[in-house]
Amino acid sequence: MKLEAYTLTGGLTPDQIGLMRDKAIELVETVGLQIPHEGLLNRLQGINGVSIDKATQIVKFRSDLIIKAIQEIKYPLPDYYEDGWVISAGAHQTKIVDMDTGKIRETTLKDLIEMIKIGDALDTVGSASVVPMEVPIQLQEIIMHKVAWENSRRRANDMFEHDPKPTVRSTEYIYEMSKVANKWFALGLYMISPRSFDVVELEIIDKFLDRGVPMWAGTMPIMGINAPITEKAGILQAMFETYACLTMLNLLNTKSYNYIQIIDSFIAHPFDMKYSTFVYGSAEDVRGTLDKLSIHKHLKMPLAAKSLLTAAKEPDAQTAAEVGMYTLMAALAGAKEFRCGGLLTSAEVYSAEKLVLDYEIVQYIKHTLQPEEFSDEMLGFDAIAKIKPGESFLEHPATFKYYRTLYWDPNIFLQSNLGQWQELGSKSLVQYANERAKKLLAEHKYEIEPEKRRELDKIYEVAAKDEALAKERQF
Amino acid sequence: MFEELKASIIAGDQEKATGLTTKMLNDGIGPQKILKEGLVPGMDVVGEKFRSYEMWLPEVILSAKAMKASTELLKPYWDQNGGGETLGKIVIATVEGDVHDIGKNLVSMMLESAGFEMTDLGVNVKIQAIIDAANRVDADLIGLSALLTTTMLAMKSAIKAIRGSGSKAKVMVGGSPITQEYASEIESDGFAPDALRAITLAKKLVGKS
Ligand code: B12
Repeated sequence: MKLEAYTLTGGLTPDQIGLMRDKAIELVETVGLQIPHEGLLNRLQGINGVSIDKATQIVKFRSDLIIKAIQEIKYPLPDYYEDGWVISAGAHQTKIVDMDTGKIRETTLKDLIEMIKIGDALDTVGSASVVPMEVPIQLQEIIMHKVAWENSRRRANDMFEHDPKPTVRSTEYIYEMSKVANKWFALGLYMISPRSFDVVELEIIDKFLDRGVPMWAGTMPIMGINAPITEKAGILQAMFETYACLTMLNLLNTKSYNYIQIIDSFIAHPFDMKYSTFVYGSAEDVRGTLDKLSIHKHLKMPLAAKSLLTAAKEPDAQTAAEVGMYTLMAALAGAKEFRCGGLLTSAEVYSAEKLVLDYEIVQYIKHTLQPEEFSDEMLGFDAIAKIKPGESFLEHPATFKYYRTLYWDPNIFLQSNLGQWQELGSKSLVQYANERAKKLLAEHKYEIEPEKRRELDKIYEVAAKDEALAKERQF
Repeated sequence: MFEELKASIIAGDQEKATGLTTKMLNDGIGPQKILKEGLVPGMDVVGEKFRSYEMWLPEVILSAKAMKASTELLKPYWDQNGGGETLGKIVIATVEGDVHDIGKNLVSMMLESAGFEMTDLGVNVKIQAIIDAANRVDADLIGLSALLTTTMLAMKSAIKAIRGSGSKAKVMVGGSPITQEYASEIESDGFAPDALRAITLAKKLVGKS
């Protein structure tokens, strides 16, 4: 028999969550959101239950349409999600801690390839970690998808990604590539709080409605800035905006399914009014995530937490404390996916060493919370009864059976003694993380099949010569 | 009374600041003097306190609003008394393809409270619209904000276009992916990492520091 899993109690009650959901639906129905796109407004025009104010472009949906949209959500969860402890690595960074010099510098194509490989070696999911800054603008997002697909199994390859698709034309290329490589493709709408959209994103959605691609709704209100300052209000705004966006997608994207993006959904982000900056990994960020997880659990949505985030500037005690605490709390609250590995300073810098540390912290917590067996064998009554004073358990059969598997064997959280550590060169934990990152990179194997790579190369070559694509991004 | 006005700006007390400004104007004190000896020194202290993290953003916004409301009251008097100049005219925008405006809004607001005349064009703004606005208001300075790597690269051509248009306006850039190094590389006239430092930079660029 397994022991009962540890869980977190407290927080929002089902009644409170129900109330928040009802209020969110009421806001969609009575307040509405702005859809600044004539084409989409025309498509919505005349649908029973949709009211449109042409002048303000404010659209309201009747509650039955909202509820139908919620009921028809489909979450395309990869099979490894069920086992939990999924780690996603941070996304789209432009600064990186150089693995050789330790200095922060701009990211390159080489970094993109290396970070994808290291991430793949650690089984990470999610978007491309860094932006290849030296690549021509119009090709950056395209090559980010390409590199992720060529060098990893899971990156940019399931619903845990949110890689940008910035223009209709570049989206076409990425779509085409996903087809030849047989990789994941979905389109998302990141709303602009309060209550509106990026016109270009709407344009892309409009152009892809006939393709049968999954689409998602997401928003990221910031407390005190584009959402009220209290966390519950921020979450309510997020629920309202997300439900409104989802309802729109449900009515328009009928050739495929739609879902709520779980990365930033039903969450409000803290803003530090003292430093006037966005902050991740703070106490309030953790609390907001705990609320998000309760709501998701209650509403049967996937359970993800951006718990590998920290405001710390380097992998240090603050990093360990914030990531450790955040992840532990999130895990206890039921999270199965832990996001934003490798990120430092509230997602301003990427670090391979930090990703290795994050991985280690997640393993630590996983082993701490692992539900243990309760049995005669585990209780060891016989073993205790039979041992004679002065004898040792070192040679006991149970010891032999379990000594390698029962205890967690950390990769870099050295459990050696002082002398052993000194013998190994008295290295810091970050040095160990650096060495492990380099080793993972050197030993990384996965590559996409050669024929698929050739197809991707071909499409990329066309994109590279596409003047119209280049022109789109020459402002 | 100047000390009191200064204190009301620091306290973000709009009612008191506008009350005092009105009273001073009624007493025949010149708008120039009210601005230079009451309002601006108040906002300078706010800036310092913001920089040392003693004052927090919402307090700074209150001060900025008190400052703005008071300077509005001075406006009708400028013509009669000559002067009337602000620190300078700035056109600010988030560049085309980019919708991030939280940082740009902070910068715009802080510059306004520091005494600049702001034209905020919003987000996703085409470079031609920026040039047109700069010509229309005869801007001294253009502020470009970008939060995406892609749109940040577009700043380079934006700067070229601005220079090519014959506009006299200097160009400053900002946004989280921008570094001083990059700002120099694309030959902008300046870069600031946050709203407060944007004020110092703008003053320097218009020769008012
Ligand atoms: C909030 C946010 C959003 C909101 C924006 C809401 C809004 N109204 O602005 C929403 C959800 C809409 C959004 C959308 C997207 N976002 Co966004 N977003 C952010 C986030 C989390 C915070 C930005 C912010 O507001 N910071 C707080 C302000 C106060 O700081 P700031 O902008 O840096 O401004 C300060 C200084 O830079 C300076 N400054 C700013 N402008 C100027 C101008 C001048 C002249 C001067 C002197 C100074 C100056 O002063 C400011 C005040 O101190 C950042 C991550 C981050 N940590 O930065 C990502 C981020 C910028 N977004 C990102 C992305 C990718 C996107 C999307 C493509 C969605 C996606 N797939 O992830 C879309 C793009 C839409 C578009 N076309 O622009 C990436 C960019 C990656 C890259 N390398 O290019 C980031 C870095 C997150 C990430 N790692 O994925 N986003």
